Amino acid sequence: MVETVLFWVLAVLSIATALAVITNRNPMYSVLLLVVNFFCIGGLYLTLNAEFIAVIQIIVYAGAIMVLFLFVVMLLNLGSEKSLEPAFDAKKGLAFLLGLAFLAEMLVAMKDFSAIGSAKETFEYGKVEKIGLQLMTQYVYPFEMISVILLVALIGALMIAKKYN
Amino acid sequence: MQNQNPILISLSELKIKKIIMEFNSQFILDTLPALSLLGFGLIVMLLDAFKNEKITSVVTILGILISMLLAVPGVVIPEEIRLTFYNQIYTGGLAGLIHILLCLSGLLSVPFITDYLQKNNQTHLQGEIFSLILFSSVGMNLLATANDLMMTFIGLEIMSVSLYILAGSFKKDLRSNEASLKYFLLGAFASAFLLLGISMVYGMTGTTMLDRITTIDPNLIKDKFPVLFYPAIALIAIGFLFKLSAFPFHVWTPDVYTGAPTPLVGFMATGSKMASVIAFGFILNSLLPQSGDKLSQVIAILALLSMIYGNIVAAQQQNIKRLLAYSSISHTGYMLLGVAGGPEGYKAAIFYMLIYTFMTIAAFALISSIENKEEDLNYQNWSGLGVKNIAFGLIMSILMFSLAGFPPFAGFIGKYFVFLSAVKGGFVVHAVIGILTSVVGAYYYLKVLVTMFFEKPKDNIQPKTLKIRKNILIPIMVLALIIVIIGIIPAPISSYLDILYGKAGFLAKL
Repeated sequence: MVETVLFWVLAVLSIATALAVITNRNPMYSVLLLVVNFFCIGGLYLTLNAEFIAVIQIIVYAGAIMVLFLFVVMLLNLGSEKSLEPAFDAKKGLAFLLGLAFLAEMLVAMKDFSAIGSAKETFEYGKVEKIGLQLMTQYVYPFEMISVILLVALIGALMIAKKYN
Repeated sequence: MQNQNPILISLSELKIKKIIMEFNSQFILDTLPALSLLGFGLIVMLLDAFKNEKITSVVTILGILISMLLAVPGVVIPEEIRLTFYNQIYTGGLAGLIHILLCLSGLLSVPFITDYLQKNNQTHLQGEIFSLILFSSVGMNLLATANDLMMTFIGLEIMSVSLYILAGSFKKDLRSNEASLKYFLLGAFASAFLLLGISMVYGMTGTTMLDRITTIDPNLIKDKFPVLFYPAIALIAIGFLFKLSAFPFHVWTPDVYTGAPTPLVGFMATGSKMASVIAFGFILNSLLPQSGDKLSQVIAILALLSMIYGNIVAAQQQNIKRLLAYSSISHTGYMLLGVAGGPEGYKAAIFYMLIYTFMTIAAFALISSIENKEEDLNYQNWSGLGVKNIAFGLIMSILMFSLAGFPPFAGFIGKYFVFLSAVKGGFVVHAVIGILTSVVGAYYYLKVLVTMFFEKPKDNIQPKTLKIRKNILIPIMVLALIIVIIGIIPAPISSYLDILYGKAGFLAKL
């Protein structure tokens, strides 16, 4: 019962804030509304027993990424909103229609989608211990290899930022 | 759950061998080729930090050679191909050969990059560029030999992120910056498509392991998820077709290839495409084991469009780097025709890719040898160059004839195998149109040669440095020689590929 109420509150709130993000005129408000949206989605993950993803969602998205967004918005120093107003052309109309088609398809696909595995199994999967165990056994190779991506990104950042004499 | 997922039931019926939880030291030995590349990447990075830039190129070559040697024991025994590291990746046999082929593009580009950096007074970049080349080779290895779709994605990202940075490594050059940014933004967009497709496949099958997905009857998945099945594969295909610069996803190619430092383009255009085409063929084969499916028809059509578009637009280019960029779109088309042709075709595609690696790296290296300013890249200014500089003219002729697919050069053999497999796979019309488009290709490749040999030299606009520096002349000549030798006697390589392919159950499973 509590779960159902929680789900509906979070679901409606997250859709409402997502709509507000893209309709808001002030980019600063958009970013802040996006934080609310991320929190709602984090809450939705919790109702699905995915504790780990919920925590990561808050720390990474609502924390780190949003700070980046805020900085970028402030650095860009966006002036009048007029310049941001996009003109509607055939390309965008087509993209919109295709997006609608994709949304419709996803909805149809979800209608007859049965959850994989039993609920108990799903409950187990979301736990931090379970994920940690998987990461350190079955997925240890990809897990360690992610460090290479980070290293490469680090080298790239250095290369761009470094002053060579 | 009332109605259990039929796919899960069929999975449990198969009684998949339970994953051993203990860590096995054999895992490290199995992945040693990739790990040694990674180790050498770190060494090169540290050498740079301690001001030893000069020896980084030697260490890079040494590292790649050692890594290739480590893969050799697995390759001599074709039956050796097996899963390792908790079934995450393949090792030995064909996987070993794939590793060696992927290392090749890095190994061959190193001398040219060293020379190019010296010429442009950018030697301080050596450490970064060579370590990135080693890391991106690691990514290619993971991408091409992965058994888990997560592994595929991580491999793809390691490879791509390295390439984005390499494209922009000349940061004072605006075109290089533009290339890097364009590649990065569009590449990130394409990766998102791939990831969405992977998540859909996971949703339908309950696993990301390709060897398990292969055991599930695709008709079962299709019946259970009629709406989701094809979109999922299409999304994965978009991710890979972008990396391969196939027709509707090619927009980044000309700008990136023109803007990025010339010898690095040779590396970017070869290794990453080979890794992507191998991974794409493997994933396609796991999801849709029957060839002649609707999707392989779509891929054949895309291959056809890539050939037509690439060749026709390339014919209008003046800038030789842009010309080669558009022609690379058409070469992607030839490879994709192989992929659409089923398992026989993958073999042809890998072989084509190998030959394309030699040709492309040599071509970009040769261009970089005379490139000093923007106008040098316009081949209209090369009039009479072939007569003035015989070595340049001769090697350029071999490369252009080979790229156009004239016998007895290697390019012909590559095209021959691809079209043969396409005809065998039932794509006769596609093969015929493909051959017609390669006639268009011959037109613009030969136009370069005609300008170089038969037009009167115009001294005022010609490239200043006509001499090819000695330290890159020999590697280019070796590459040209390899192209001629493969063209005359392709049998050893192709039959060896046959043997490895036959023994590698995973790609040939039908």
